[in-house]
Amino acid sequence: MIAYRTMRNPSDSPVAEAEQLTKTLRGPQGVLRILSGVDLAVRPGEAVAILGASGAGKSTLLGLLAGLDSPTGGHVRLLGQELDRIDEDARAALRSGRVGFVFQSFLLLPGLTALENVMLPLELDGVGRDTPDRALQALARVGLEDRARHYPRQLSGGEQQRVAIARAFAPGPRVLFADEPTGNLDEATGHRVIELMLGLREASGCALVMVTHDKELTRDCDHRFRLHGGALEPC
Amino acid sequence: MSKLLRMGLRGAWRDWRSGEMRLLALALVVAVAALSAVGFFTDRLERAMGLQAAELLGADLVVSAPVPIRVTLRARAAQLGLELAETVDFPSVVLSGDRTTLVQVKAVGRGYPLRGRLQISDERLGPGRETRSLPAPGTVWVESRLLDLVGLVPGASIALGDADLSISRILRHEPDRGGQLFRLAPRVLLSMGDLETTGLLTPTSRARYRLLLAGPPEAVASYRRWLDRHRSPQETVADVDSARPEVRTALEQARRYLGLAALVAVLVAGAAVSLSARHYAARQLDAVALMRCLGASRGRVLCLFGLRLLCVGLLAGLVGLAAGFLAQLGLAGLLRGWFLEALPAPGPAPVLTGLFTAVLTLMGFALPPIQRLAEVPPLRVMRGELGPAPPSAWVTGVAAGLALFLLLAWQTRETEASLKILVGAMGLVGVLWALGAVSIALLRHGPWRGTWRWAVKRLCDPGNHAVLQLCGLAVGITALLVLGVLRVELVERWRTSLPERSPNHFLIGIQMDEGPELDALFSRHGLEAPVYHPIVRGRLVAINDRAVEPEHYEGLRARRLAAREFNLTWARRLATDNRVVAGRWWEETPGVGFSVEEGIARTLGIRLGDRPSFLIAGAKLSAPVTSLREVDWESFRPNFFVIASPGLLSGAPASLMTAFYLDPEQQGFIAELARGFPGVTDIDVDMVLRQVRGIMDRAALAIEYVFGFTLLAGAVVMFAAIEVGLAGRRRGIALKRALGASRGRILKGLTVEFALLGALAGALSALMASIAGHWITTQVFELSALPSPWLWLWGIAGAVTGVVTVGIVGTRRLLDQPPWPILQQANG
Repeated sequence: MIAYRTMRNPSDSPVAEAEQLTKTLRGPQGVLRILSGVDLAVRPGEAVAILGASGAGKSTLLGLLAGLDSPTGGHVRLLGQELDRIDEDARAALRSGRVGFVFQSFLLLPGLTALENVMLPLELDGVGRDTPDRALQALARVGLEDRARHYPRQLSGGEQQRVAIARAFAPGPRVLFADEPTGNLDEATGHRVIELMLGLREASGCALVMVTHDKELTRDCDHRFRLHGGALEPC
Repeated sequence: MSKLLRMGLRGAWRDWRSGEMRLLALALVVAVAALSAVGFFTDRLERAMGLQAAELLGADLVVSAPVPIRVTLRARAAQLGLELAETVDFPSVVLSGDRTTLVQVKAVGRGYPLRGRLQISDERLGPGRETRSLPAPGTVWVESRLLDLVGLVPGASIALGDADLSISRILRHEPDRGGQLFRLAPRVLLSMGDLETTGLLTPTSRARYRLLLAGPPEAVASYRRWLDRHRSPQETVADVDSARPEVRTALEQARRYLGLAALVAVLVAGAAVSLSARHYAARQLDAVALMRCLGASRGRVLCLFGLRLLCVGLLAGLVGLAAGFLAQLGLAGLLRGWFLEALPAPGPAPVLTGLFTAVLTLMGFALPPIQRLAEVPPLRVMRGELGPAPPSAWVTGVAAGLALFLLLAWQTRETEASLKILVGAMGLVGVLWALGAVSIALLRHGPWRGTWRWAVKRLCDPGNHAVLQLCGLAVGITALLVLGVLRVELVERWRTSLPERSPNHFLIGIQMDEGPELDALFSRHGLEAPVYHPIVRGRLVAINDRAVEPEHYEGLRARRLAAREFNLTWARRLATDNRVVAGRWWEETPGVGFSVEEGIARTLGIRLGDRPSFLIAGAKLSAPVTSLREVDWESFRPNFFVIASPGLLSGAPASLMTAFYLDPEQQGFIAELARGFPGVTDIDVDMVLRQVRGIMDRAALAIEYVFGFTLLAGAVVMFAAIEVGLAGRRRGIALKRALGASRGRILKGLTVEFALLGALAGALSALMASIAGHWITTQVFELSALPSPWLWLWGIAGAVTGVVTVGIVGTRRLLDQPPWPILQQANG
């Protein structure tokens, strides 16, 4: 199996790396093989898209790379740390302030305003008194500073996703994981959201691993892979 | 740590703002308000006892005896430079025209009271003023209650024994009398000089002589040490620390029973806390998963939510304390003047109790579901079906039980009693739960149609927590129904259980030579000649030559019996309502000895063959116990704990007593009796029963007042259950409205649903109250029990009305929401 490693700068250590990654699940009809010996390395600053049909295992791969799940076989390194050598809490600490997330369902907390949602990772990371200012700046970067005091129910789908993007970028992460970020948006809004996300990534220099089923959205990514039958192949 | 605290506080504020924890907070407010209302009230009583201890005695030290105070006691006090005052009090009868009433006479000497002040007024409803003076010769000061009883006004005359005295002032406050609980008869205060003119004091009077002493603490202590070495067995001593044991006992009982009633509210509120906390935790799963994604460790999640819970708990605790403070004003109003006249402001202790209650209730009922949040896997952000299992019923039960046990132990100050109460309460809840579950199961399978079918389905939906709501409501309603039955029916039931024409008047203090004259009076009024029972007052001082000291006995009753004077009598024949259970009656076997009632023998540790010694008029008399008796006290005829064989008590100062039935129309007999026999005291049983009924009424009202918190807590359980099922209810209503149901039809469905819940709760409560009421009536009070249909009527009607009101208030807002946005949201 050839290891697919992105080749921007061979001397930069990958921010996220999978080596012979395997994930199986036991179901009523026996063992279900979701991933089979996947190899992937994402370098700093790169944008990587993982494509595949619904149910191909894209989100599963993303979850493993982000340390949210444990593989059945193989290894995952995130920010240089081998994940199977550390426990759940240590993984959380690793992610704090360094890893951002954007989800299909936005996952904004309904009881918090847009500003407070963006402040959440900063507060968890222990940022000090300038947390609200930094959060407001993040909202400004996505063009929503005047909606800072609005609740998610008062925002459209596209606006909610932009708030989620602001939240993801606010702490200055080294890698951002996006799981079907446009899945709940119409086509036009989806494109705008992707443009925004990629633009912010470029400006901040963080890596991006994006999972999507829409090839059109991945035009501006540095590398594209397809997940099929549990295996990862370049597009 | 400070960042964590700030984050926790911010989180708590956001939760409060979004209404997430409002029901949980409301449940805590009810729990804290219930306990702190009782806590503030009893704290005021205890502080009054502490601050006013010397006033409650009227002195720093009081020596009391059934005989005149010895000269040596006065002399010693004078030697030490102590201030002195003396009082004598005894029951008697006041005559005004043809009206008589039992009074408690108190003659006071110069200097009384040594601590505290008397308060008097010139008119019945006039303003009171403190005074250092005493009644002038020929006058009396009386409680206003006496004026009502005999229809008098200030300035009128009353006959007290051989003296005619005019009422010059209304007595408003007497520092050493205590509250209304301890005043059966109204007070008549006169100067010591007038006592002799009344001619009421005889060797057989039930008078209590008191020597009051006050002075510098060292002198009082020195006197006390001397007195302990020289005290006669008839003399009892009370100082500031042991002042008014009956008030302290009543206070302790009030604290215990009111506190237990309040704890029932805490139990029900705990159910609401648990339900709200589970619902809150379920809504936080996504947020916690996100936080775990973004770097929060399990410990951090636990700290953050623990801090939020604590903030809400402390805030709710403070609000609960404020509500409890206001509520205790109601309690103080209900029991005004019962224990003590004036109550100071409460101290800080109840505040600590209130906050402790809030924290403990949170830990016992809210912590288990909140603690599970730490186990939310971060992968839930991608796989929404992932999540921690809810806490097991076992863990929830143990946590709640432990919290309740600690609260009980704090309240009762007894570990064993707390454990028993907890087990009993859990058993009761278990029975309620089982009955509730069976009722819901039967309801689910009934032949319902139309609106009723939808209402029953909604009610029986597992997400509706119907059984929990039933239990929460039934606990409070059951308690109120039981109290209502006891308050309204018990005294009446007891009264009607007595044989017809049972004695309703008791005469005491009849001189030995007044018998024939009294017989003539009875005959003149067409009454049957009375049967007289001789009475000799004696104090138990030893058993088998071992001195009897009240402190040697454990129970309160035993100590009281060991400290009191006995009414000894003698008889040749065994009364028909007495039965010898051990030994032999002397009619069969002539002999010298005592026959003792079996219950008191057991309490005081007297066995057949023992030799009790009684101190009678300064002389000791011993004799063996030759029989033990069982007495039928329900016969309401005069009966005695200790009966001496004929001749054993000869030479001892004795008086006579009798009991008889008097028709209400024959009150003229009592007036003539009071005029002709001023030393005889008439005890009107009906008047006593009215007093007892009044006391029971107030006590029950006070406990019902506290149980009102339980009803409130039950309502919060309902609100919490409605909140839990709100999303599903909202979608269902939106769908029905989209399909054409009118608001009226939906409202009808809601009303039917809550009416069914109320009817079930009311029926369960009436059933439990019937069983509890039956047990208390037959086993505790040994009366015959009669079914009470009113219990079922009030229980069901009251519950239906209350539950429908609360339910409609809680769900009404759903009727006003437009259905389309709700349906869109549900569609994702």
